[in-house]
Amino acid sequence: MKNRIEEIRKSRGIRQEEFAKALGVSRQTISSLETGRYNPSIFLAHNIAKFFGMTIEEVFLFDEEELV
Amino acid sequence: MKTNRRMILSIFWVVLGAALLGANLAGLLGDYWGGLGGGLLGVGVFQIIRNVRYLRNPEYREKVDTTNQDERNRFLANKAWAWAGYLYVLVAAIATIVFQIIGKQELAVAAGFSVCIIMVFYWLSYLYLQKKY
Repeated sequence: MKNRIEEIRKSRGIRQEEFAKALGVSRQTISSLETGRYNPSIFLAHNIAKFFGMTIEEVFLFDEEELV
Repeated sequence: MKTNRRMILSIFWVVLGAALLGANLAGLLGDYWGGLGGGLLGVGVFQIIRNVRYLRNPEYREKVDTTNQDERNRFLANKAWAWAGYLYVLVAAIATIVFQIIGKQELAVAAGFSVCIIMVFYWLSYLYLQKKY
């Protein structure tokens, strides 16, 4: 699943370490999320969207073809 | 609370290890038990040092807590267990055939039995998880 985490984070001048600390996850998790290697749980996705003050759909780009 | 339990367990390993090692050095138990005692003593001391560091060093505590609670780490740990299980079954199944071919029947039975046991554990776990989730 694609996402806009890196784009949004960088646009706000937040470092990966700061972002990870705010979410209570490791920096490696943020890196894996940004490169799309790891898909977050609904709880983490919710927390990420909440941190940015956005909806989950605005941060994570659902591709219906991936669900098939 | 969890750290206290870990600390008690670590002290238990140290006491048990020291007792086994002492009994070995006194000639009451064999070298196997002495070795086991030395290992337990080492593990216990290492865990106590780690727990003390966890309790006294807030930075280290935060790092350990983050690592333990990190959902990707948990995902990776579960995945690694699953892979280890698959690999074990595969290797043991091949070993069963190889041991049978080279005439080591006891080893072949042991390897085959271990595959059966792990498959039984898998199905029991699956049935339990099916009811739970």
